[in-house]
Amino acid sequence: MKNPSPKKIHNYNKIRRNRVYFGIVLLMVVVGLFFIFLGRFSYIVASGKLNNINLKERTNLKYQQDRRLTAVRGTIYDANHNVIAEDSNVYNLYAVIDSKYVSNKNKPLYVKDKAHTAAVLSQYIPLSKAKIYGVLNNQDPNAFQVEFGNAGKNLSLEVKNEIEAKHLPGIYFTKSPSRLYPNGNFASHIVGLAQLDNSKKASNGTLVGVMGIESYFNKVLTGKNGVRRFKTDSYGYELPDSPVTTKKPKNGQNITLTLDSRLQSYMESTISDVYQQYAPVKMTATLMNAKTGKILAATQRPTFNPATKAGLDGSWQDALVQEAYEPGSVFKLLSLSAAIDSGHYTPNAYYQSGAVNVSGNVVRDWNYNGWGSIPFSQAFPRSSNVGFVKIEQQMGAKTWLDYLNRFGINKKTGITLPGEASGSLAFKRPLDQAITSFGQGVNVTVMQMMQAFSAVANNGKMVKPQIVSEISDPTTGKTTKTKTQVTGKPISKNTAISVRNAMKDVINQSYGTGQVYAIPGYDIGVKTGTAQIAQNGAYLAGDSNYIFSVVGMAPIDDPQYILYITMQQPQKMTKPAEQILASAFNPIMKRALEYNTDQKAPDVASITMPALTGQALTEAETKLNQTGLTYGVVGSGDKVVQQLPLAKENVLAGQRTVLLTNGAMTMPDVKGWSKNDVLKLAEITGVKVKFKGDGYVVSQSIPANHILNTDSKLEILLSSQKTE
Amino acid sequence: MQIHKKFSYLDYYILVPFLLLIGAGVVMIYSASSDMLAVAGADPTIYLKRQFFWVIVALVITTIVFLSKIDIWRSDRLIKGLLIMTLILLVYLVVLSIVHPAAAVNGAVAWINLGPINIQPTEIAKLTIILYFAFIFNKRGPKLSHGQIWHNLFGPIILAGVITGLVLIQPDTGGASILAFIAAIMIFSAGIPIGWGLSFVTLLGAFIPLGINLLKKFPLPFLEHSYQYQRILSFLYPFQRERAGGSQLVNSYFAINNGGWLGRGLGNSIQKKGYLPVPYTDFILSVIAEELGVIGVAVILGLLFFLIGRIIYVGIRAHSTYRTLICYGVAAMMFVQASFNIAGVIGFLPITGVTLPFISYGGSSIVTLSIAIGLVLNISSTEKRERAARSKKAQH
Repeated sequence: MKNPSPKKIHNYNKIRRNRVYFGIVLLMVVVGLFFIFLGRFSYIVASGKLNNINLKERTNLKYQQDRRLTAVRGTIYDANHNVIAEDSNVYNLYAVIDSKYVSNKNKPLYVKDKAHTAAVLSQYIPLSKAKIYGVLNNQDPNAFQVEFGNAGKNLSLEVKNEIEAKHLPGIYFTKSPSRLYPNGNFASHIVGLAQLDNSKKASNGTLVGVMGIESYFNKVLTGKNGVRRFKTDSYGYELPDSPVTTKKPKNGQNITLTLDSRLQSYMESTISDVYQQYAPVKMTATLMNAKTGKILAATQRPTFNPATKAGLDGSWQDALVQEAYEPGSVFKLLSLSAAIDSGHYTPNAYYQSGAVNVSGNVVRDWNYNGWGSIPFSQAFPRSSNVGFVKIEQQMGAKTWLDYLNRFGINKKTGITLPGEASGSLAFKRPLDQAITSFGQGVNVTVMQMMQAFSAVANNGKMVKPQIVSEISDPTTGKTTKTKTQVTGKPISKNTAISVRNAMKDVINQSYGTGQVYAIPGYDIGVKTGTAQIAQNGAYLAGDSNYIFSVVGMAPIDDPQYILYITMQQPQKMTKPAEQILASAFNPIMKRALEYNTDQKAPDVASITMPALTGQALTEAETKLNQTGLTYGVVGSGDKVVQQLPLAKENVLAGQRTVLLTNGAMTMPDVKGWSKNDVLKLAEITGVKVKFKGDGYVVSQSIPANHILNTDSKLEILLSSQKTE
Repeated sequence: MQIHKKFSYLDYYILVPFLLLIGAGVVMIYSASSDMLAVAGADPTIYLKRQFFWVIVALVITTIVFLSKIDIWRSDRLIKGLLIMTLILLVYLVVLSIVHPAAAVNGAVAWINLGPINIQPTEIAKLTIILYFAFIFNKRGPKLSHGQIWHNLFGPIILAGVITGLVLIQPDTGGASILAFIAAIMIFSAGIPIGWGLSFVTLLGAFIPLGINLLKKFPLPFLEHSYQYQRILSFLYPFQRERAGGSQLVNSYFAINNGGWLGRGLGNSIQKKGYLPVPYTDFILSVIAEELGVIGVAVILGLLFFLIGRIIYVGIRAHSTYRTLICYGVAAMMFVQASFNIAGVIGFLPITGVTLPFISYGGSSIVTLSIAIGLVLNISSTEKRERAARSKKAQH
């Protein structure tokens, strides 16, 4: 090797030295950065804070998930503990049609066999096979899932289960809470409606009362949702070993209404008939217990069906409390009461009927000619406006106003229903004062009238109308019962009796306006009303442009019931107004009176039915023998799974109990059973029964011990002679 | 040189950290990826298996490179071939991004799909620059005295600039920065006066904080739609922008804080379960911090920085310019890449999508690193043998 020149060696060494130095610098940077990096890690861990943000808190917040534990909305019951409104879930159907939607094992999770799926679904949802197929056969390449409009919405649990049992791939359901109203049209505006709250705040579905009791007691019914707080990863899976805190939901309280479903249902169907036949613009009917103020049945037309929402686009107003109207002549109950009570009533004095001049205005009787000179005692039964103007004038405006106040006119009753109106009273001019005596120039609500009527019915004691009978907390079992609330004693007992006697006259006197309201077998008292309707400052003219009404009390000597029916402007007035009203009033009042006696009778020698369900058959038989009840057994099992009558029901000695046991259902020997007993059998087994004759069973089409199923048809021959 | 002789000079200070790091990488990749794979309905071991396969490939490559004659890596033909191939691949990516923009992954066209495997030309470019600079500066080193410096540096810098520029427009800011840093460090260690290198490092050290402070005072709203600007903002205001791009850094902070000093235990990271994006690549260090704590991070980074330090040390002691430059280049590559990754997950630098060497998942990266380690092991072994030979000679 040739020796390099010294200069070159010097240069080379210099370069090498530079390289070494640079290497050392690099090494120092590497070591330095290592410690800087570690320092940063240590700083983050040691301080737990960056930019003044506590990392631990932030992570906890990030992982924390609150899952709502929904409180069950309270149930609304009628007076006999029948369900009027309760919580349930409905299911909405959808189908996945994207063929890329498959399981890990490549099984289709979408609708593969569209024709078959359509055929099966058409059996469960109200949509034809062809239409379902059309929906499933969506050609949009981006469509992942399809729905079936209203047909696939609000399906019950039963329908959902049945569809699921068919194992159709690609068919799914979403669940949403809903409110069940099993009775359909049933005091709809009073019970009200709870709907899913779609506001952003409650996006995940809470039921909110929007009308009636559901709205007024919304807070009580809703309860308080609980929450389950836990930690999850970003996919939503719960983190292992993370603490979980749970706040239990507090279920809503149950509300028992004063409504009696048997009377209510009857009222609904009766009023519906009238409403359809005579087409009034509006109609209300209210039946109240005269002693307690409990509303037993009440309804209005038009109404809606909370189960189907049919008719909901009409009025949302509860006509019984939210609407004030001029009541007309039924108001004479109040003016008569006031006159008698204040000692200004002179029944035997005569006055000239037909017309009377009040400060320059002529007030006429409904019969323009009047009845000539008649005693004041006929003014009420004839419903003479002129007579009542004179009565009002005799007692004077001051006294009259005093009594109006005592009767709670122009004041809310305080019934637990939303939006109650207080009405109004025009009382400045003598004309106003005069016409209030026959119910014009004063606006009232049905509830105000019911309250005022109660004073007459109840010997002067006025009671507040009540719709809620009790509120009970399902968790604590604490029950708050509504007490009868006396809101005043506007008139004396004697006054009340006199007024009720006048009400009798309306029916019984040949000149009474309410003869059609007589119910054979019962003593009834009524007052009729035909109120003019003010519109734009003038009263409407025409035969049907009135609010026709009737209020009745029965039995009139000691009233149990007050029934008040109003009917505005019947569009098909094919009969006189009082006949139309009577076609609703009479059957409802009669049913209530009969129902009353029904209820009282069994108390005499009744036995409380023991609870037998779940017990061994032999044990149940022993119990029944001890209580003196006869029984029949369905099925071959050894354990009672169902019983009729139900436990705690009152039954008469000698009445037959039907027991259903586990195992196959078999036909018992029913010879000698009453028709009623066989009906119990039908109820418990689902068998359809056809009866012939009356009395007790003499033969049965299905022999004893034959297997029964729900499709079985049973023919029973009854005879009045007991065979045994 | 016989094979067994080469093995007898094997540098265990490099080999052992290397093996430990790739081993730790395999374990952590499995830990970080299995949950998200399971949630996606895929085989939870798929990344584990793939990484394991690449580790085997990497060890074979390391062995081959280690056993090769070190001088074949400085042949004219190899260097020229590498440069041409790198340029062709990078230009191909640019063309691809124009004619077929759908080829982009995460916004950048950085991969070439070759059937079963994807190659990342940026990785090849790193090795190309290291080998080319070592080759060219070794040749021109003696001429790099005053006055001749620019003349001799001009060509290589232009070439490196073109390669870096092609990576930058992919756009792969992280990759381009790494290439620029490798080039810079090799240029400064080529023999130019030490002052130049020191001033560069000082300027850089001053410029980054200055730039950041300027940006905080004078934001540049007209860049609002620029991806890089968004990244920088997310880095400056991670918590304020948690919902608008800052979540990656914030989640990394959460992971580190969750881990504490000792960690939640292997496999127990919460942040890897959907909170951290790609926990098995860019944010694997956050997962390590969460599962193994600061202690675990210290061990892993300790091994990594020890390895880098050792490579620099081998370079310092090497007798030939070429070997020194290879060592410095390899060390620079690992150091810059590691620093970008670490600085990203602890909020020192914007997140650049750079993976942690040896640990993060990725075949291209591990193959590049295995070639680099093979080269360094080869140099270390060769140097040792030569030193042994020299001392033998001196004794005689």
